[in-house]
Amino acid sequence: MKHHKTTVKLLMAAAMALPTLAFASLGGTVSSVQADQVKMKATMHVASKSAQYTVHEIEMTSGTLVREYVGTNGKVFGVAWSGPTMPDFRQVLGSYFDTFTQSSNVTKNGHTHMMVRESNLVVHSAGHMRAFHGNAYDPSLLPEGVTSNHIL
Amino acid sequence: MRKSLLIVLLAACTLALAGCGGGGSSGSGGSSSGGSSGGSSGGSSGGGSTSVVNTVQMVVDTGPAGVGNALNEPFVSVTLCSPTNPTSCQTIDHILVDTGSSGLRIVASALNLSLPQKTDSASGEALAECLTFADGYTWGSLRTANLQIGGETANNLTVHIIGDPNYPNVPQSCSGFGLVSEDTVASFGSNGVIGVGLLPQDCGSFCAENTENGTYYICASPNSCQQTEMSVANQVQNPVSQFASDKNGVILAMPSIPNSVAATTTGTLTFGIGTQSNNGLGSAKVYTVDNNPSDTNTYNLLTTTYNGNSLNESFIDSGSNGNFFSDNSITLCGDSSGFYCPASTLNLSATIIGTNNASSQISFSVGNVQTFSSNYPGDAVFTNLAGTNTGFTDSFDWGFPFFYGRSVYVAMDGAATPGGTGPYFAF
Repeated sequence: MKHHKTTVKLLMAAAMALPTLAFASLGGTVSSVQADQVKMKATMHVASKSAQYTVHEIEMTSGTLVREYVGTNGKVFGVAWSGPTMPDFRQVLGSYFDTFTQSSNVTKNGHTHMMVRESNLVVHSAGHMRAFHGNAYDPSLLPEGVTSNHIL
Repeated sequence: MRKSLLIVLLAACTLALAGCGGGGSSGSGGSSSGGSSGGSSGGSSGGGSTSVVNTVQMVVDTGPAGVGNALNEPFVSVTLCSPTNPTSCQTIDHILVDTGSSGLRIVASALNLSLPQKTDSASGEALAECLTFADGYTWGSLRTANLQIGGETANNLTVHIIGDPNYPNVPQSCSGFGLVSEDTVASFGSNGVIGVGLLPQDCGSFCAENTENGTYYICASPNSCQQTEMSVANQVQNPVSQFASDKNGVILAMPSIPNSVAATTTGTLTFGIGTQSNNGLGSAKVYTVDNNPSDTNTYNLLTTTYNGNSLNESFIDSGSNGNFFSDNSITLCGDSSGFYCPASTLNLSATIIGTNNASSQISFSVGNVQTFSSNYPGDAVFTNLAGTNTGFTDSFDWGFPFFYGRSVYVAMDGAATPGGTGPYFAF
């Protein structure tokens, strides 16, 4: 049994005084959902920072890395994951979860690729057993100059 | 590559007549337009005194009834018998051959055979499984069966029965992944899947050490299933690892497809690597994969260089029906499907590099799937099918189009073979 670590590592010394580091769902704010980190049983740190966004990296106990992309307005505009298990989509997509499950614009290619394309939600999921990766973002929330290729 | 491949197969045929049913069908594909009959049963005599028929025919067709129009999906038939009543058996067709997963899973509606429930040895309670793919989840009981495929047998094999009507309530921790249920033939796309991938089990140490693994469940009653740790030995096993012999891996051999389109085609799934006269490596080159489970991003994966980019999360997957990679210069289809639809066929190349630094340049083509669909409605073979990997710029998924015109070897993790210890791909 692996243990839940609560340590918060700040890799970037330049990281500003972020109020509370916690996992946030797509469209949510960084400071609003501290409890979710506990729910995910994960460790977390700020992985990188640019002029347009900060990347928070969360490692689930399975080893899957979830990265959330937070704009300067504090909103999570994209989430990406990679690792041996799929993330919890309810958790990752937050208020977008219903859009995801109700979408009719779903493409599946074999069992290894899935795409969902809605005006306010794009989800890509790919990979195979013990090697999954994917991302989800709201195109209307993307900071200027940021594309889906940044959400990795 | 093609040249050396043909030499290997011809050599195999001269060595052992018995094996030519399987090997020959692939080797002749490039030169004879009709292809061969596919050699479903290879030879019966074999070379050694204990050898069994280790080949079975793979069919690429439009799939079982109820599944629209399958494209580039290799199917086999498997025979399941009850371990408690061994003469009670059922042969099930259209089981997808998947090098990207491990374990045998059958959709409950395709099963007419009563199989005993697998139980926890301590409590006697029933065991069930939730398994996620990239596009959905499957839920159902674990049962035991005697598997027969070709001349190979795996007795008391744990089989995942997906969509088992006796377990209608999917636990929140399974459905909570938020993906769609794939518990019917229509939603799953086949009557089942036989995962013959690089790993001997479907979960490994993670499920043995973590209760909340989202995969294995113990059920006091069908309506109250809870997550549980599951020892590696009790997990769903790659069926090949449970054979008496020919258990170190598989070979998928498919013919070349003239003009890249066919209504259907057949190939051969061979069990074992270097265990009989018909499954030697020959001059196939070994490409090892990252076998360190703590490498969360690259475990089980190898590298592909494409357009000058090194993509170290790449894999070779017969369960993907196209080649999937990112190239913003290729026109996507207008239907948001994620497939590429170039105005004319593109002839491209990329290089596969194993963690052992073995490398080969691979030529492949990207065609227009919409043109294919309108020109060849009902056809199940299109070697130029490709799509985007948008957002996953570190990955190249070599899907089933890669397998046409090749023999692809999949050596299991930890298994001894003439090409070294698995896991590796060879071709």
